[in-house]
Amino acid sequence: MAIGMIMLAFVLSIMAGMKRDMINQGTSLLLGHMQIHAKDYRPDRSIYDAIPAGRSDLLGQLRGDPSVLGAAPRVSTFGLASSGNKSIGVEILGMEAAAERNVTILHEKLIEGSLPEPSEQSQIAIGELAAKALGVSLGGEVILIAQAADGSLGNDLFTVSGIFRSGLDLLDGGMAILDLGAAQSLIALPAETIHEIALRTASPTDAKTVASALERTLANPAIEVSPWQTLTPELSSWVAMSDSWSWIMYVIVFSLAAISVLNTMLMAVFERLREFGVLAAIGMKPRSVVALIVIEVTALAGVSLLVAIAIGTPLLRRVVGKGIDLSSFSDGFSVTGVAVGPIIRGDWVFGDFAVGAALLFVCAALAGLYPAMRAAAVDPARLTRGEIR
Amino acid sequence: MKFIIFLALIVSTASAANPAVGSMDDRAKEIVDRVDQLMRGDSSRADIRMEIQSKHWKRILEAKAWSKGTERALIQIRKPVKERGTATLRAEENIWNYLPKVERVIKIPSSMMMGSWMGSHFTNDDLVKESRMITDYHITISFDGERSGTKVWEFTMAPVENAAVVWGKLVLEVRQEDYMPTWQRYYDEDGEMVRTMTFGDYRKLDDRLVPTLMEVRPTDTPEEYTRVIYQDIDFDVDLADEFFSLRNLRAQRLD
Amino acid sequence: MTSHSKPAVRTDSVRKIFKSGDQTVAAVDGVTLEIHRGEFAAIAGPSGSGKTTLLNLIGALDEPDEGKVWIDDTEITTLSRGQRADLRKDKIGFIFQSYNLIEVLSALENAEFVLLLQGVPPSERRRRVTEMFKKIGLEGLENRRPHQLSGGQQQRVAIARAIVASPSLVLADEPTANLDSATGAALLDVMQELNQEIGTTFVFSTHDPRVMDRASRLIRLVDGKIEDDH
Repeated sequence: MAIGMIMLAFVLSIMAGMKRDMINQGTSLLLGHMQIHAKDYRPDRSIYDAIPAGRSDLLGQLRGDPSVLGAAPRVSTFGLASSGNKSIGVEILGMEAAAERNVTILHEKLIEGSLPEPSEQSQIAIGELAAKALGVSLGGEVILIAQAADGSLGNDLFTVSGIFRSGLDLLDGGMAILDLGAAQSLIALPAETIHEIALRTASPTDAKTVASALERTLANPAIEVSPWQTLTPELSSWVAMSDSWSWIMYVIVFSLAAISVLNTMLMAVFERLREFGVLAAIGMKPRSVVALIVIEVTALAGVSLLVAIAIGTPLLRRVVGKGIDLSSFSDGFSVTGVAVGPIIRGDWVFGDFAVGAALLFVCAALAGLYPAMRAAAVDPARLTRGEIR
Repeated sequence: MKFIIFLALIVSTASAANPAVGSMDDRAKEIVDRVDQLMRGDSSRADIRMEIQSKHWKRILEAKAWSKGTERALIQIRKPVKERGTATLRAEENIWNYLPKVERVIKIPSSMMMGSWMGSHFTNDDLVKESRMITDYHITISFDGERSGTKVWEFTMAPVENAAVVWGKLVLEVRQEDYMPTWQRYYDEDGEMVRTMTFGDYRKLDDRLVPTLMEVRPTDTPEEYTRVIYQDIDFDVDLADEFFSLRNLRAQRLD
Repeated sequence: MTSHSKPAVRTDSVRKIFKSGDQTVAAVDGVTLEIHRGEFAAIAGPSGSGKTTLLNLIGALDEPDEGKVWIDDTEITTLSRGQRADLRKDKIGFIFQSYNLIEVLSALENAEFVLLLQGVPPSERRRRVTEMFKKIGLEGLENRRPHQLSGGQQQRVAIARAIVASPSLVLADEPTANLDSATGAALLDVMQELNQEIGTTFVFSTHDPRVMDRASRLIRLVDGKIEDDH
């Protein structure tokens, strides 16, 4: 049972860790915990559906809000990146590198160079795969073409200032990062026009409530604040799936625990038939015998819990601290558009574990019921007949 | 295609009178052959004007266009000044754009074929697809009679099995008196109409009756359109294959 | 030996039948019996004569197939298992041939177990058990585990367990069978003393003539029937 508990804690920890990593990776890479758009912007992402409020006013208001830890304005469109005779379709994202650092960790994913700075309007950062597809390296030149807001064919020449590797093919192969101003001028948008503000809050967990609170604060019916759950339904369904996996784990562990309790207690009852006969003979009621055994099982579960805590804590500390290095198997993988690194770190799961442990007690007690009933059914008359040794 | 590029992509559909498609309605084949004959020109040079009306802006482009056979075309924008020299070359299945602002030639990747050509309601794919359409569609006469006092034929084109085509169905109306197309409708694979092309201003240019106005309207945003107006056309001009080169794509004042 | 008007145990034509294959054997075959308070009665007979079964029946450990058993005016055949357990707890003490102490409990804890079941408070339990231990010569052995005690000592703990709750009736199933004769005799001394001092009613089964000699009443059982009762 102790092994079951350790296993439960271990798996719950890994799953919680993966869930945390998934959410953190999924939100911190580029998404942010939530995003602000014009109501009509998603999902078509038309460049004409800009946020209908003054950019500086809105950003000022957001940055003054205590629930907002970072706010990064962006413009976004789709276009063509080309170098030499190679071309690929890309999403063009204009951003303020300084503001992004407070919201996302794209800058940490650069393997070369840096994100485009406002002082250098002709800089571009692209992903590793895009660089490969275009055959460019740092300092190389990339042409971007995109439909501009005035109908003309926006086109400009950029120099690669940074190459990033996020682990997500979608980003690494199809994203071109410009400075906000450069992107605006490429597609002929005025400086006040932005499509998106990505926000970081204290924790991605309560994004839904913070987002709706923020939406009320902004009080602009044409502006929408979407938490990451809305922005990446894949990620939130993955999270839901991972939660249901936790439940499957519970069921497995509890079944194992219940079977082990049943087995142990049945053995114990058969070994102690004489004792139960004596107890019955001297006047212990059957239901008291049941209670006695259930109490014993619960005590056993308690001891198991203590053992599990004693052995499991250092183990978990390792899983949470150093994580499990899967790099010998793979370089990491991507799940529903989120890169999961080769090292999976667990998370402390006190709450879940407490629930699990409590359920385990109930489970053990229930599993103890049958042996208990067997014990209570021992006929004390068999004692004197010498049938029970 | 033997006509200049936009007209080409329409009429080529009708000219799918390919004997290889055996099941084709004989009469339909005969008529579209005739339409094709009328429009035919081994090569052409045209001055065109393109009006693009979108929800957010209106643009007017003026361009010069050259074509040869079904597979070669070059369009060079002359106005507005800001975009002068911007050009598109089509040779066989490939499309390149030249951008004078950055002085670079860009090859359009196949993933961008459904993207808009120069912000218009034409796609890049519209510029290259006609050679495929010859073999890709069955043609039948779906109407033969009078509409608004004019005798017309209506042809319905359905893709042959396993054809790699964009459209689920095409319907073309042609005037019987002079074999001029009047409109063509494009349907997606679910049978929903996607856009309509309308022809008009039939005029004799270089001794040939042609529709000098073509207008494409997307069905879901009918307030938007792209209108192509032929101001002048010369047929059967002397153009070598080498004329449709990347060097000429970059040439500033081609004539 | 005083006879009280109310019997501690009364049976009326009880029969207990055991099946073994196609054979049915009446282990107890129509026994009618009264045992009065303060008696020190022995049920004797060769093995297989039904004495243990009879003991089980009058101890409410078993139900007769026919006939009735009263313990202190309570007719046990109509009781549920739980009610019979309660009855045993309150009215009957058991002493088994093989002591049947609970290994994990100390001598004192074993002896006070019935009091615990009766809900007697701890200090009272301790007082009564300590007193009883003193009386039967177990003083100083309170904290020993059963396996740390001799057979005679274990059986004394069993006696203490049976008697400390002042039952109407103490049933002892061949209590000295596992003991050497000196220890057995000493144990019988203890039982007899208790019988005489506190008036505890004892009924024990035995086939040992030395034990029978001590009894104030000897009930001989042969083939499930009372052959002799005096």
